[in-house]
Parts: sequence; C-alpha cells; structure tokens
Amino acid sequence: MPYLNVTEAKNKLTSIRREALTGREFILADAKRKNDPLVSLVSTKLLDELCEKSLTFSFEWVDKPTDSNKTYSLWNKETGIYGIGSSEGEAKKDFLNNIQEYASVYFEDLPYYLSERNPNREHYWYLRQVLRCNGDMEKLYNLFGFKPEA
Amino acid sequence: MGYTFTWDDLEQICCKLGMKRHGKSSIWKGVGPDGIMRTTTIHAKHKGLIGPGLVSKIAKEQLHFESVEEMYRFLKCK
Repeated sequence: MPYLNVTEAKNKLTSIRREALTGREFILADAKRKNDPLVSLVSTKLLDELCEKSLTFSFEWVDKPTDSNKTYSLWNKETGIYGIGSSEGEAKKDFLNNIQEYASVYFEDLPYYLSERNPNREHYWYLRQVLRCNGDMEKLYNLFGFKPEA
Repeated sequence: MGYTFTWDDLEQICCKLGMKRHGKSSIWKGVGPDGIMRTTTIHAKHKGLIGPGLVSKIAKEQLHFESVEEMYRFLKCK
C-alpha cells in the first residue's frame, strides 16, 4: 500500500485521485507532525459499499397506543435514536428528522463523539450513511428500509 | 411499580446530569459528574408523558442509568 508524505501528495493529487478511483488506497503522513495518526485517501464509492454491506439499521416498536399511552415509539437499535407519533408513519417521519439532526450535530462535534470514552463513538459509520443521503427522503427511506407512504 | 416521566422531567434530568442543548437543535449532550458522555434528543414539540417503552430505552441506553427506577430516584432527589 503506497505511503506518501503531504508535500508529495499535493504535487501528485490529480494522478493520486485517478488511481484512488480504481481502488488503490493511499496513506498520507505529515513529516512535520510525526505523531499524528495516518490519513487514507480512498474511493468514496468503496467506502459507501463497505458501509452498505456491513451496516444495517434495525428497529423496535417500543410503544404502541394503549389506554394510558397514546403514542407509537420507534427505536433504532444501532444509534439509540427514536421517533414518536400518533401513527406509525408519523413516528417514522419523526425518526427521520431526529436522526438527520443527530448526524449533523455529531459531525459538527467530532472530537466529542469520537473520544475513546464516548459510548456513541460507534455511531460514526451509521451516521455517515445518513449524511451521504444528503437529505434526499427517497434515499433515507431506502436506507432504513421504510416503505414510502402513498 | 410503573414510573411515569414527562418530557419536562427528562429535560430536568439532563440538566442535573450536566447536559446542555446543542445550539438550537433538539440534541442534548454533555459529560456527567460520573465522567460518562451522554446524548439524547428532546423535542420542544413533544408534550406530555413519554411512553413506558421509550422511557426504559432512554434511561438505560442514552442516559446510562441502571434502571428506570434509578432515573426516577435521581430526578426526585434534591
């Protein structure tokens, strides 16, 4: 696997990008900051495929209306994000809003969420998938396996 | 015994745990006196009681209490 320092990578960025598109991963190191962790330059498509194949979202209806409770509550097991509503469809929509908001806050404050002692650190790759949908509701419905409402 | 919580109760619990709302979002996060980093979601539009199933998930998985009962005691203790 090719290792490059930052200066070399800057000079060859166009050809590196072209090679990365074919599947080659480049590992970048900063000679001035020897203790910094390494950074990979890798095809976005390959990363997307890795996430799609290895990560799936699963759900549980933790509340359904009863005499004392009027709401549906949908719980996502992987991220601990929920949605509530007076119907299943409304709860799913609430979940979609909540998870997009969580993804946005998460990526705004990566040092907090990626801290080794943060239990939500493992949400990273799930939320990356949410961000890759870029707010497109059709893609989000597909990602979570929800059937679009008629 | 069944414990009930409103969304306002949940907000109070988050404040006691040292959590703060992230900007104008519905996301609350922060590090508690016990050093645990927590995150939860509280919507201003959500009113009234939280469903019992959801309370249990929020208590144990988001706020890291041992049980709903422990969260209830934490809320009631001054």
